[in-house]
Amino acid sequence: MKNFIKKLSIVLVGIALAFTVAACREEEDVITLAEGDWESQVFHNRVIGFIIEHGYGQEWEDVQADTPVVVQSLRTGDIDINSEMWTDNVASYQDDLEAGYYHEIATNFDDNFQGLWVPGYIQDEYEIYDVFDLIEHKDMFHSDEVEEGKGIIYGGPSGWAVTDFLNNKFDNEEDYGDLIDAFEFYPIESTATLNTTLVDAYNNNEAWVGYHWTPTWPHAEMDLRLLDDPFDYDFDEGTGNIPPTPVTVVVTDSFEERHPDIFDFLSNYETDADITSEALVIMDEHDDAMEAAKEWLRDNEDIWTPMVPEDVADRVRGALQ
Amino acid sequence: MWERIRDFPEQLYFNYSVYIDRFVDWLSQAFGWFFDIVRDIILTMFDGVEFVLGITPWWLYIVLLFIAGWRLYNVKTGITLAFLLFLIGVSGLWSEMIYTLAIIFISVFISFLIGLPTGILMSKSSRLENILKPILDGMQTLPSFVYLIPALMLLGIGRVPAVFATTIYAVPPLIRLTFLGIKNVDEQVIEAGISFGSTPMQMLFKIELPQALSTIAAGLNQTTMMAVAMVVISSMIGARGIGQEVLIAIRQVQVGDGFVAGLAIVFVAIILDRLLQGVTNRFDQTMETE
Repeated sequence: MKNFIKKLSIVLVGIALAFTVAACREEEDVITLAEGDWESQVFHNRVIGFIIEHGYGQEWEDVQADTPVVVQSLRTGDIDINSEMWTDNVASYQDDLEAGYYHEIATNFDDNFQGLWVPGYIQDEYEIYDVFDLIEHKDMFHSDEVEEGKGIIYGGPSGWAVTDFLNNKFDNEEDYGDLIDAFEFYPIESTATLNTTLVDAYNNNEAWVGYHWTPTWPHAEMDLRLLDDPFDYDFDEGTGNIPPTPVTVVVTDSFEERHPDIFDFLSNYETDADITSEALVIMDEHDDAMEAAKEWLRDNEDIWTPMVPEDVADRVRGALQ
Repeated sequence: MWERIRDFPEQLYFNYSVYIDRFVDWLSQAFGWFFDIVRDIILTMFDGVEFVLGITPWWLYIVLLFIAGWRLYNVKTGITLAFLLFLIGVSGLWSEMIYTLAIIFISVFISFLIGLPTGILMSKSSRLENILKPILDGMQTLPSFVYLIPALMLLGIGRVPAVFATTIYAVPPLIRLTFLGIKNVDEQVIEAGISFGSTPMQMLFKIELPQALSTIAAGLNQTTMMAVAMVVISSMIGARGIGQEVLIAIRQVQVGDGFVAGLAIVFVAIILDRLLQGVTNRFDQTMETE
């Protein structure tokens, strides 16, 4: 028994020591970047991370989380930076900005496309250019998950503003009655699942129509075409083409005070959808996202060097060698 | 120097993911017809179960559940269970519950078809036991999204991969407890059976299975609970039901709605658990009185 207590106390002391060591490490100010489950943000985070690590000598880490978790953590300060805030998909965005929980300091890009897409081979073979062209070909878009005799239009996760918009479209009997009779709109709760349906159909040359958005890797790898909607845009009616969403860079409230120099750099962080799409092709060629970001930084000095002071740019260049 | 010793040597890196990719490709090409058949069978089952569950009026469920709770336990339990079911209806989740129940029932049924014979075989062959035990561990611990994506490629989206994923997660306890139940049958009973000259089949159906019945029933109960636990994951691969309501609510940070839907899942679990346990207890009692 005595022996057991001795052993137990050694183990406990060991655990206590380990915790103390771990706690000491925790006190360093590590910048946290939010990372959603889409590729472009992985790329932007690597670029920002590399610059703040080697240009400003600041440690950073990424935290993978769903958008609501990211928004909540930005409010509390558990996450410092979100490099891609899809503002239309965050219902509380304007209120949060006004309340001062976090701040919008740059627009990463705002020339992205969202909407219903079909593979290029489907558009060319069946001449489907706008959403109403789908109707006569509804049978090839059929899936067992929807009613017999109807086609399926895959949607993004419920709760995204764009999914609400598309739901409105499929409630609008007046303008889209024929489309609603021929197709069912089917939201998919995970983007990984949505992408799987697309990739699977594309690889087998099958018909697919559904929601997607740029800049994402499927658009870098596959020939996908956006379908036109002949009406004028109106969110509540669900009509028209979706205007681009501003994708902003936001930081938590305390960030400017803690890291004024990095705050200045991020205020200049503005790219566009084309830059991001090209970067995603580079990403696709590398197994390691960091290697892809380094290659991009080497090849695109004209884009990122104006964002930072000269001495920071020199240090980053040095680290890229 | 220390880093050399500490860090795993890069020369030993070996990426075997390509072989898994190739295997999945091969599977979908060579066995596409097979998965189409599986798909049709599960869809037909689903339509049948959903039709039966959906055609029954809501109050009949509540009355039947009350009677079942009262008969199996007492009036108080009957009222409680009926009230929980009523609450699901009040939350506006009745049709979602029917959909979810259909997935759970079909998964449990398939688990039973697979689990019972596998458990019996496992108890008869120690080699099979050694092979299956780590596989069962893997089925319960492998993160489900890892096999969900290939399941999506082979089976499409929606109810079918949901049933598939739920079955993979839910079948191990049934196999384990069937195995345990048969292994733990009293030696003397078995020896008595042998001395009376019973064949292996007679032994199984007349002696071992009846003796193991309450353990197997416990396994079935656990399997059902595991199936309930997969409800939300199923909705990430295109299944509807209460799980989807949970996902929608948490994505929009609607804490209240999330709890309403989440609690509905808890109520479904409690109701199924009490019903199965009640039936099991009944079995035990009749066995003892005999």
